[in-house]
Amino acid sequence: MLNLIEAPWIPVLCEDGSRHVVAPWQIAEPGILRPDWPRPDLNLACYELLIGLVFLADPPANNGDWQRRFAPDPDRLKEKLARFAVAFDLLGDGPRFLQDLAPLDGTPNPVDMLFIDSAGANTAKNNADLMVHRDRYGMLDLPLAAMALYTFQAHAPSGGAGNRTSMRGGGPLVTMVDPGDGLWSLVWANVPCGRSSDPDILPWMKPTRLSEKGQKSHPPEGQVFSAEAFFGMPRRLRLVGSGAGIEGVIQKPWGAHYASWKHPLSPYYRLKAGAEWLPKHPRPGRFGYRNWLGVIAREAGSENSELSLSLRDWGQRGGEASVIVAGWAMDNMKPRDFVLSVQPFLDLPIAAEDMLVGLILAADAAAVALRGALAAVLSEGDAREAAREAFFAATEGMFLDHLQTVKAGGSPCADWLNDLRRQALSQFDALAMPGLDRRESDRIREIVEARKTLSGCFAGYGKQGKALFQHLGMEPPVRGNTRKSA
Amino acid sequence: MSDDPKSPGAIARGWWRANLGARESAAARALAARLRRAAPMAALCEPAVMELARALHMGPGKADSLVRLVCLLAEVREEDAATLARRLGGSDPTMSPLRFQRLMRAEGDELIALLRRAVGMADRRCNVAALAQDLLYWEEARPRWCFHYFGADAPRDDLKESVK
Repeated sequence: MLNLIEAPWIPVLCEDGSRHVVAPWQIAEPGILRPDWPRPDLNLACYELLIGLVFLADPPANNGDWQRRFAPDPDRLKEKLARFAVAFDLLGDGPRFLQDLAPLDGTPNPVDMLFIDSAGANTAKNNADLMVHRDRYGMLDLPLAAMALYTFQAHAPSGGAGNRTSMRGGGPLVTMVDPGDGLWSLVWANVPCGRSSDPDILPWMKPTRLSEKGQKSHPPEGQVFSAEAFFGMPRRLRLVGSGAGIEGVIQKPWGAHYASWKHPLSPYYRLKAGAEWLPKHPRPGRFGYRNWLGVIAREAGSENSELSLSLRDWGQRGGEASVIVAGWAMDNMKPRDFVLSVQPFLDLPIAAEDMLVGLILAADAAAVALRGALAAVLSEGDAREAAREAFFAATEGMFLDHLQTVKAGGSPCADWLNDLRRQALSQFDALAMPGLDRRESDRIREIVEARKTLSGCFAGYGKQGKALFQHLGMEPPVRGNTRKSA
Repeated sequence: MSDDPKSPGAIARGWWRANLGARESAAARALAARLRRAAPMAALCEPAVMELARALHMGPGKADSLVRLVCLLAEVREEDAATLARRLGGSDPTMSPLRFQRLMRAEGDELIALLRRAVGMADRRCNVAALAQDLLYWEEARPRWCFHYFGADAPRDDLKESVK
């Protein structure tokens, strides 16, 4: 039977292009590039699992200790992980990895249920699985089943009555630092500081903490997380199968209901000071600079958003790095999109970061003004939202150029204002100008007025114009000044 | 609006000043009167009109356009900085929005008739160079007229280069 500590079971891609299957301790061996599962969401969760294992067995005591132990040490990792083997059998009569301690009775579901984008029984019955899929996996080999099980528990969406979401809700947003030096460097870069734990901290080593009466599982007193953050068990599951493979999954409702945890690999926000911290979730579509706030860029003086601990720690650990931003964008239990993107790590002095945040907020104001102006040409809803997305996509390249200017200590504010104005007006014109003279005269008036307002916004007039100027650190015009427009 | 002295609009304005705009000259008054009443062929028989055709490099293929241009320039008595569309519209419009809409959609003879009436409504005063340029390139001019009529500045072409 597969033991996930002792046996090699993780497929990896190496720098020389070869593919191997390794045990967790071997990730500290040189030349390994990344996990190599057949699905990107499994790769993402695999990083989280490995980071969790190192945190469980041998975390850095503090960031100084982190620096000292920067070099990989496979033998030490092997030795430290050894005592956890008891908790990492996938099958068998003892405790099983991420499964209920006692066998569950019931009809097994197909193993597809472990994948977030599989069709539920009802969807399949109604033949409504257009974007999700049924019957893809007849049987999973043990390593794939183990990885899918972990992924499912870590990112679980709600699954009907009593089937809990993960500690971070359904489809959390994951942000990890990537120093770009292979698998070990990524894992080590994201391991939180702390003390090692014992195997009995893992929730499947004892009877499941049920939640049918609303009982909640809180982190240890005075902390926002423990190693359990990486090994949460919101769903009560038992895999059905043998050494040959897993054929089904039995599920029971009312697994652990996690409350007030902060997972170290996700950014959090709250609606107002004193309110509960909530994990951020990805939106479907491109992850671009408009989504940076609170995920890779700190808002000035914002008490209500917090980057992931992994990114905050990196500020102390330091060095060149990029940030992996990934996760399932969900609509409740329906998967909409899997987001996977690489963003720069912003290593900026406070003043420069504030300026950068100002650029983002200015673009936000400009996009709102554009959307408002387009009311004269586009119908409500998706069409206008799409135009807004297009606005951000079109300005992304210029924004990244300005980021370099900010890094070099310059101020791109005036150029950025010009970029935003150009893009907004040309986008407006592309939609409004063709055939303008053939429209009803009332509609022509509306469009002309809308354009006037829009170009006024970039001269600092109106609500968005004021906001735009403030975010760029410019003085909005005083009333009564003559107005310049495009 | 291009202020290039070599632009067709500027050339046409020069021609208008020399041949039509000088209200104290009997010859100019007479030419304007003839052109206002002229059938297309008769307008093309005016030596001054042929002079303009040469200056604008308009061959026989552009005869219609040339006739439209000179007949309308003959309606204008005085120059003004404001374009015709601005003088017709604004907050208290001389020309009703409905009439303006008709003007925007008119073609051929109807367009000439409506433009004539429009010049009259504007007290026969407008920016001559802009009017001439717009008549020569009427397709591109119409959206600009919409902006001017409703009292705004038209989008400038420099935006077009930056469309990504």
